[in-house]
Amino acid sequence: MPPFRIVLAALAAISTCGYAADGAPLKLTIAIDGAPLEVDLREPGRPAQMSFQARAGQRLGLGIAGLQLAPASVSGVSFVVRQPDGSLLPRTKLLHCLPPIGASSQEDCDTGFTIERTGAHLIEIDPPFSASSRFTATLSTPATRVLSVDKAETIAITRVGQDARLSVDLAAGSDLSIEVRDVASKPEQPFAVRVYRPDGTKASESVAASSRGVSLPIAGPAGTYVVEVDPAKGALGTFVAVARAAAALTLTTAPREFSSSNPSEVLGFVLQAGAGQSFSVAIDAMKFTPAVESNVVLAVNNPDGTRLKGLGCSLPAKVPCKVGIRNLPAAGKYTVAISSPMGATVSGRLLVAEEVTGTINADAPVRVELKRPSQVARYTFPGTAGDVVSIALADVAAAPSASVVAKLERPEGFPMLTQMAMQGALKTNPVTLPVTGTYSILVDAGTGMLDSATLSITKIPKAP
Amino acid sequence: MRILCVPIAVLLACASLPQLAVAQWWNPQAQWQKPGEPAPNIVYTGAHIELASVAIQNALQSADFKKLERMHEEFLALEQSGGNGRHLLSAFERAFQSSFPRQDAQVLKKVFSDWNAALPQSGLRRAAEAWMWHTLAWKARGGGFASEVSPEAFKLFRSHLERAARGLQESQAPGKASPLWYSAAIAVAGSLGEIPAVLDGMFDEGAKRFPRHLPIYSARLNYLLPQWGGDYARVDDFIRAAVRRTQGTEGTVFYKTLYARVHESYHGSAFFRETKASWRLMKHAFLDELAQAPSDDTLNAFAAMACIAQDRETTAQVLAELGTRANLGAGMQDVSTEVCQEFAKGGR
Repeated sequence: MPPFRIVLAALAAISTCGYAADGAPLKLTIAIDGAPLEVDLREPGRPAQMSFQARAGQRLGLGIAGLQLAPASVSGVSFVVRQPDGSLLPRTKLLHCLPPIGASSQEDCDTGFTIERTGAHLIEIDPPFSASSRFTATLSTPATRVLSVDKAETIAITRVGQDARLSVDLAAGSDLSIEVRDVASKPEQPFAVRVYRPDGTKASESVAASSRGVSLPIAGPAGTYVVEVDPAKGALGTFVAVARAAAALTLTTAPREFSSSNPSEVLGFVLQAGAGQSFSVAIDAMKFTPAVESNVVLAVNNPDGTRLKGLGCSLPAKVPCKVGIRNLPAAGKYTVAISSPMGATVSGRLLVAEEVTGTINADAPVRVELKRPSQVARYTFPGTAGDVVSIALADVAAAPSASVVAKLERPEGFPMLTQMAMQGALKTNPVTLPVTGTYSILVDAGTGMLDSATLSITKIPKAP
Repeated sequence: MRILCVPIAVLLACASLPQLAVAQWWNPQAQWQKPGEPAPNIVYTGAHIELASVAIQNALQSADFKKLERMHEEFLALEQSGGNGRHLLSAFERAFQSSFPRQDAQVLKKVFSDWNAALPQSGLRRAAEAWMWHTLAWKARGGGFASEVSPEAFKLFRSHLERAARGLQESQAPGKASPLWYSAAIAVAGSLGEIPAVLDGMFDEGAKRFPRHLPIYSARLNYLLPQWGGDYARVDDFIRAAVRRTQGTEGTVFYKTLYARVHESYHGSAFFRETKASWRLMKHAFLDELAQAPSDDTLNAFAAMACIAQDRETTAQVLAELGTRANLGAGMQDVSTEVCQEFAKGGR
């Protein structure tokens, strides 16, 4: 149905335009899921209101499209939602939409909110006093879908400002992951993905773009979870969502083969880990089919969906595809996500290993073993500012393909030096410790293992 | 979803001057950029203008006139492009108004003598020198009522101002290439008590050539205030016209910026009742500014003004957004973070 036009006011003389700011608001009605309302505020500065009836609990999206100001201005038009008693709708921030700038820009503007009280609501519109404004307003309920495990659904966002709300049931004792991919929007915009628990609180949030999807965990108490997909700037488009039984990982899980089934898939693994734990996550034997020049993103995400650490890994690999996580801030279910390369599927082995830790003292060598692929050993020693030390690794027994390195880290965690073992040994040049504190020596065999090696630290006497 | 729209206008508009938009060679606090690295996306805020002002003051102190000229040239190009960084040039007036009153007259005169010797053709120097004489004039006069000023002080006041006016008159050709010439000329003419038509003529010419240069507007606005024989109706007319002139690049931001100047000169307790300032329009202007160049300084000024306007909803919303970064009322009377927090909660 084409938008219908409401001409809100007769043309006002230009000389009075600036003084209409205190005029009574123009009153309009907007229908939820009705035709887009074309708003033509010819009298600069005159506020307007759009009223609508809504019921408690209703989730709505307001979209503002095609904002034009005359004369041209980079001022914006503001929108706030008021409840039946006139108060501001809680937890809804003010929306201030700017007109598109430049010929290529087609950005729209939107916000979403949840109604708390049944009744007549108002959307107050505050245009600039210096220009007339035109735009199209759309008020929409979300596109909804009930997700079944392993069944991919394609969902379309057809109205500016509309979001999608997908519900998925989580059984007691089980975990799921939700993958959102194949985002196609015009104009191209990323889609925010949020997971809400059965009690309505937000569990996690991330962003999916056309080139990269996302995987978020659905874990916690049994019940119905809601996944909200919110295109940025009111974009229209489609996306694919699929809930999967979460592939569970622990820090002792054996290397796990994986493969994606299509080029946009995001493989998600739910990793249970405890506060204070340090570990590495890596991929080896990675293969792209077909063999494209692209990369995957290996990411470890916090339980709330935010990125903890991530790494782009390309083929042929110049460095190991491996991220190190140190001293987890909290226990919980973290997500390990592997995005597929552009135009290809990916397969490989996912490696997870907890750090080996110990202490070392000068002139007291220790034997180091890395029994799990991708494992890292961390040995700490007390250092005093001004001390000069040298680190050595001897009798390195590892697969010929493994590249073993030793790294020295400052007490604050910053790397100081890295050296690779050659022909079964390494010895660093003397290094002066800059501060007093606990230093770390990391022994790292990339994605391989280390049968054994002898690590030593030598304190070099200062010149008299 | 977006709460406050992104500064696309600013970023797109600066695309024509990518090098200048990120050129921060003058800023000792700028992040070092390695050769070949992508240029950082800087959205210039009031904090950058303050940094530029400090850099200008330091350059004046160290007699680094070439640096001053280069900063002026680049900032002027940014202003004329209308993109990001278009307000950096106002750092010059800020620097002059901040540093000249604190300096010894003989030291200042020596600086300008050296500058003249080094770069005799500089238009910037002539405008800056006019600002210096303007400052010295007001130092001689003092800030009290005219009836309280001694005849000797008045004589010196006029003498310094006439010296400034003469210098500006003599340097019209190079001087008018910079908006600083116009802001100085209006300030000097206003202090000399020129009739409104003269000030309007200077302002119109300056604003036509340099429509984005805020100090030209501030200078003219000053002499429309009641303490200069003006009234708030004329102030309001002027500010609204300024917004219409600049909305293509500024939105309605000049409304709140110029009314903030009015507020600085206002000594009562009912700003929104006694002046023609509209809180609704000022709020809109703050939102425009936050959309173009979000900063805590703007959020703090927004919350403080909402508090003054007794807009509890907005005060609470902006304070919530600021959280622990709230620092309201810098340079304002009767406004503080604590007072406004209490007001937002329903007290006061």
